[in-house]
Amino acid sequence: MSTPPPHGTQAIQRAFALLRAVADSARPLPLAELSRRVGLRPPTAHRILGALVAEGLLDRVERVERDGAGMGYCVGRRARALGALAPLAGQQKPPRTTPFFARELEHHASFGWRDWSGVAGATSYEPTYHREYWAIRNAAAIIDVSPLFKYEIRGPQAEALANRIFTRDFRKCRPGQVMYTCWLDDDGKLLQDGNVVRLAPDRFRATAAHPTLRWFQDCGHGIDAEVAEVTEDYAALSVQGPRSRAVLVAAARDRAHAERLAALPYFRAAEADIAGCPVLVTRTGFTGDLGYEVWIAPADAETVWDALFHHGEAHGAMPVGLVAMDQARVEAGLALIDIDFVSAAHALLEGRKSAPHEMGLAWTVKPSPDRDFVGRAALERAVAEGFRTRLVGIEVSWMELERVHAPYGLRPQNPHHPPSREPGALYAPYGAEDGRQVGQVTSQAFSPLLKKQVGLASVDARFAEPGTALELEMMVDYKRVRASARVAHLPFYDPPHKRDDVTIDEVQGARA
Amino acid sequence: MTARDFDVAVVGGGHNALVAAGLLQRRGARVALFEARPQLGGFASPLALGEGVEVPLAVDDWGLVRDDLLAELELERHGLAWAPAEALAALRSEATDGDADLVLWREAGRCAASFEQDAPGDGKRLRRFLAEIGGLVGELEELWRRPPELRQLARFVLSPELLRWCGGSLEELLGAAFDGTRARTAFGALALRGSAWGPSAAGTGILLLHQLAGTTAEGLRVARRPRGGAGAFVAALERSAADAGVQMATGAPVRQILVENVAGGSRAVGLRLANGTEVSARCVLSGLDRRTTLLDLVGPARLPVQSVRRLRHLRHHGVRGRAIVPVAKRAGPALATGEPGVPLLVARGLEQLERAADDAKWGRSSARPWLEVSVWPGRAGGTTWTINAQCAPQSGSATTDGAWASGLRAAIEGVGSGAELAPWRDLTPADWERELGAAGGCEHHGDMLLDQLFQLRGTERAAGARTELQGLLLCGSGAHPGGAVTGLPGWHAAELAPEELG
Amino acid sequence: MSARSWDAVVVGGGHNGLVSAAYLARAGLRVQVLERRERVGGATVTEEPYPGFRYSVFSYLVSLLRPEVIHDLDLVRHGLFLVPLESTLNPLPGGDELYREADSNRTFANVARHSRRDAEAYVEYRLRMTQLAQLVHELQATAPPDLVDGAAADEDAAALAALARRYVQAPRDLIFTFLQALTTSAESLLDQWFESAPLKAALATSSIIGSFVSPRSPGSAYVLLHHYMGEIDGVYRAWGWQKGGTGGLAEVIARAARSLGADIRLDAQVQRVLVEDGEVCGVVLEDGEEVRARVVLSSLAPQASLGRFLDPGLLPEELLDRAMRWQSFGCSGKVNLALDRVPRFASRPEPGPHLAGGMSIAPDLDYVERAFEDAKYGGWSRRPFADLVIPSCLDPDMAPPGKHVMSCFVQYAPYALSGADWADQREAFGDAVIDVLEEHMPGLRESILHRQVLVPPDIERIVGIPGGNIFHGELRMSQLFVNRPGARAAAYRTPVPGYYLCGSSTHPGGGISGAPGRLAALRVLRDLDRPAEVSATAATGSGA
Repeated sequence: MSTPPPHGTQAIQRAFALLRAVADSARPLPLAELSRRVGLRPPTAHRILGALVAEGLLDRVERVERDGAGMGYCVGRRARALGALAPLAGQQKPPRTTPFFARELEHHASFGWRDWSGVAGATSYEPTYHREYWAIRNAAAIIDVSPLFKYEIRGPQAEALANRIFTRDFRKCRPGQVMYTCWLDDDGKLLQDGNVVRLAPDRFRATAAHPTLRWFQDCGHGIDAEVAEVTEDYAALSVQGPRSRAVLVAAARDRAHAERLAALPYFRAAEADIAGCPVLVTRTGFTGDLGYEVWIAPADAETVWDALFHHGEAHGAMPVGLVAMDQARVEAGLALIDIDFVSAAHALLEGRKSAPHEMGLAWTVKPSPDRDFVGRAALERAVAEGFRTRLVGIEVSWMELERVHAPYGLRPQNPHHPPSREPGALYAPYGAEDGRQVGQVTSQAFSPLLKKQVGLASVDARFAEPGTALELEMMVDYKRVRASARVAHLPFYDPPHKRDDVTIDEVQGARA
Repeated sequence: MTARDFDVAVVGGGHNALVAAGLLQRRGARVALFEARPQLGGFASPLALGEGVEVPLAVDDWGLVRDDLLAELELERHGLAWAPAEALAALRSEATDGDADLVLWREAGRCAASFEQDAPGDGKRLRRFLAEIGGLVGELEELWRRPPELRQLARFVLSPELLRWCGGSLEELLGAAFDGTRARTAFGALALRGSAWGPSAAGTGILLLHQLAGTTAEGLRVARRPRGGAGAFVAALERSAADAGVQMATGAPVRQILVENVAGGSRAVGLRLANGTEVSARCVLSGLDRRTTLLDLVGPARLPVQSVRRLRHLRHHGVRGRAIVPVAKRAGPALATGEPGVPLLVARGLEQLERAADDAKWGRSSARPWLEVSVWPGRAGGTTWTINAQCAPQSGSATTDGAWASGLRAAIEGVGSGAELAPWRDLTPADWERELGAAGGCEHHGDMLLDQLFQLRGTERAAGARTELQGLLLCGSGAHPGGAVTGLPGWHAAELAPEELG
Repeated sequence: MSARSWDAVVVGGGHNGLVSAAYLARAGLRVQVLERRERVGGATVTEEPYPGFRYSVFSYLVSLLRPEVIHDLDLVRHGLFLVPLESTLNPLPGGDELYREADSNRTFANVARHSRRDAEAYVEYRLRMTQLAQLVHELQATAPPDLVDGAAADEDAAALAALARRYVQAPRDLIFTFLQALTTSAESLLDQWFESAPLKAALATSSIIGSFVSPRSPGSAYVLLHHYMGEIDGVYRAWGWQKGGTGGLAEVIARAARSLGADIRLDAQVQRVLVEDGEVCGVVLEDGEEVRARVVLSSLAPQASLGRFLDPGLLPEELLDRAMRWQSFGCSGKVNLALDRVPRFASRPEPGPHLAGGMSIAPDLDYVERAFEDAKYGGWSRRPFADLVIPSCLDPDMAPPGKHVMSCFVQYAPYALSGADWADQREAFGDAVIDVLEEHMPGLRESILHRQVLVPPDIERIVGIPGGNIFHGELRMSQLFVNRPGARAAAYRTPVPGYYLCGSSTHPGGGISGAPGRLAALRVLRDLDRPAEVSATAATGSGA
């Protein structure tokens, strides 16, 4: 090239040369090796590498090799982030991500993603989800649940509106209390379920799986309260597992906050400070274990994440994806929208809509003469007529799994299969109703803890009694087989520490 | 706070409410009726102009009242006598005096003659038209007298003519029926009285069928007035009701319909009046339109969300203004019919009707409104004209809307043919809404096209006289089969009420 | 040739005529199709008026083609090649836009930019339309009954009863919406769902395509539903472009018909239908040649089928009168453009997948209403509504490399102008269209190499549809089902034994669906007491 390159481009060319060199190497490279490969004087290379590290395009890490230990350079977090988008893109634009995305990528070894309301959610961080499951049950799992939709109901008649929308009676919900509830359409059919926290006498915040601003607002005509969508205003981490309390207590800014968190009762909310960031903590979750959900301003998301993992390390905290959570929630007997039931707003066929009583949610419906929630009248009529189906637990014992696998020379394969959302047919045993289909399992999982196949199913009410013998269709070696199953009580797993109340000393004592 | 018990409490004192109240009391219920205005009758009530002069407040045509259904009320015994006219209406399409008018004579032969004269061949066509319309309104009358049901749909699907007339546009249908532009205009104007639609809109055909109820192959239905003045009809209804024992309160606006939860539903249990008085009743009837009744008096928080959405989108579009014009000397409009009982339609053609509908669509008033003129006795041997004109301003009046004022005046003078007009007053949809509580100032309590009739005159959950609430029925034009002075909605409510009283 | 005698003669080689012919041939009948023009296709023709650039002259999208027709006639084997449209772009004033994509999450976000509530409502709206489309499908798939004094003839009673049962059993609120959709205006229907003007306008455009109505006209909701039939589940991929233009589609059906044994004769203009002692026995061509057959099917509009072709004495007066008064004044024009570069939208300056989708110019309902009002009083819309496709982005064969053709379906251009003649208004109208497009696609005007403006009289002249109405008559309740085209002719039969109707002016109406042609053919076969299919070999076209 006769003319010299314009000022600055030389440095950029050198920077790219270094990036290429690092990227081409399987292991971290030391400064000397790098400068040799790109033919730069070490001081020059060092200066440029410094800039790249600062930009997050390279990381400087410990390296232990035959040629001795020392620091080396590998591809940085931000560079990985850029690359990471590719596999889930396949579209003109990258998908929307949560405020924790960059942090998730640091842990994200599997690059498995699931579309969660148009937002990328990690299926599992490790290549397999098994350790993540045990983190939920034995230690502390940190799950990004930011994609949940969030709404606030505010105003002088906020309580009246909450009582019109939701089936639970929110006059009984004190500020600082959380209520799990569902809401129905005019025909008394299930629209969605979710948690509602009362932030103040005139302020509620609800979470939902599907967008529902229009419905909430249209319920509010003639009521002096407003409904606002606050989905983008809060990132959320679900901290679940027997050590989750210890993690939060350790992460709390000072003893006052720590005490408040330690003493936070089941389905209560408390404001706390984690690493200088104000957060709302609710003792709720979707795993059936001791657990909390932390509601965070998006700007603070990474700070809070870092703090939780910093303090969580000692308690075995690890990031957990959606697959392990799914496995846990089946054990917990928690029905999931779009899987175990269809929202009445999205059901193509009338028959796919369900009443709360058909989803084991009758307890959330509390009619009283002096309130009139949406769907009450129709639901009362339906209750009078009775329901044809019920949500039940279904379990297949280990011994039965062995029995159905044996003819094919197999050990039970179930432990190797992830939780399944494929419907499975349930039959009455031969003899009863000549073995015709009486329902379907809508989600099932192998429980590593209980060592049996467990599932949620909708069955003909006449077969809903716990203990009833049914037959579950399974595939073994591409053949359909019928395994003897039993109707079981829900939840399958319900540890006492899910609800227990303790003091901070017990928490900190437990740490030793 | 005094609570009083009745079997039936009726909101509003329009003619339909009076019919329902009278019928139910006669059938053994204890009925109380509450009217907000000092005067009963609603759209059908008289307007006193002093010195014993009286004109109808809004309605000039009683030809659609279903006498046979009101027989129980013995209105004759209570002073009602009809003065039937020889014609249904007359059309004046340019500013001339009577002899150029096209008259819709009631008797087929006479009418055919005038049509033949207007356009060769239309005489024969009129007879075919009458035969066809006679058959259709006969068929529809059955439906109008029955609560709407989905099964009735089959009737439409299998009757090409019914489909054609209910789904076609006046322009297309009248274009096929007559050659004479005046014949088309006359029936078009007759149909579009009080409607926001133009003759080119598909579905306007049914508006004409509504107007021609009672027509047979032998002749058009009758136009008529009560003898003894504009107020005589309502007065008879009132006497009949009072005589039967209905307790009627005027100047008693209802603020709220009281609702209670019952197993599997909600039930109306009474009223609260503006003065705080609570009236408990086993069944509440409302003569107000569906939206006002349910959204204002019951309240959206007691209704299915889907119904609230629907009620908020019912079309109530009032388009008719009314001028009341004292005319000093007994002059014009020179009537071809020679009798004052026949309304005179003043329109230059279907296009003028179409333009008026465009004005309605954009929410403006017509610079050249078309008219329906009726002549009433006036002061000192003079006459009073009541002139319905559309399209009137949505809000405001001749005093605030200069264009409307001048347009209306020009139109009136066009008809007046030299009569000297004393200062006149005008009423617009805003007045109907304020004075008579009709949503949108719509005299029909809701648009009268097929998408708001039969099953669809209501919500997904309740049509006909029924509402979402047990013990609450509609007895006004907002219910099946709709607007105009017919007594039908009141009769339907009275037929249904016993179910609610249990 | 003409000496040969036929079982059936089909008058008109439009897609419905060809479908009828194919079904009849499939049943083993000897079928003769007679097409006036030098090519088949009726309104579905592709031409090359400018070297290297091919216009799909009139109809431009294949969306409603019935799957059973594709299957029964094995159209894919005969060259059916649909390129799906992936998206719909509605450019808005000021460089804004509404963009709906196949990806529902993305569409949700795009709609939410205009209204969060509407984004939510749109999901439920599409579900509800899917449910309605199912009900409409059942109505459209049912042949209207032959009415014998007010009751359905026995042969149809069963099907009708089944339909009635279906409706009576459907959920109450679904039926309510269904009845609304049959009677109300698109605006009234959409107002119950949405609040944002752009979305309402975008959805309402389907309610006016090819119809002399505005979204505020009662009955327009049904037209919307009629088009939604091609968009069940809101899957935009259901709208397709036939490779080579819709003319290609006519050729495909023609090949299928030929392979099934039908004979298609071009340049053969029928002058009248031949009736001897009250029964049809063939047709007479312009040159006096007689083509004899046991049955005759006409795919032409009623003005010709029932008017011109028959001796008036043969029809009841009211049916004849009805045919003559058939509401079929076209109001749609077509502007075909040859462009020397790819058009760029103000809202999306860069070329992208949106160019391979549909685009329509209708910022809000008032805009469309004003366009309609111009036409209502006999003028053309000064600011027209336009529905655009860029075929060359879907199908490179339509234009030379780097060049493009743009197909603009525009309204309103009323068949009859008051006090003016299209001859000297056509280009002015074309200019008005370009002016509107230029606002949203700056620089388009300079890139135009060639322009073709077609208005209803042209469609009437070239295709032979009276009034140039692409649907062969308004889709309004007074012209549907038992009224299409009229009582006593709605069951594909006419009062003249052996004479049938099979065009878009019969149930269920317009659009490239092939449904009327199929239902008519099945009716004929029943009357002739023939099975719908003679043998597998005949079906797969041993005749070819």
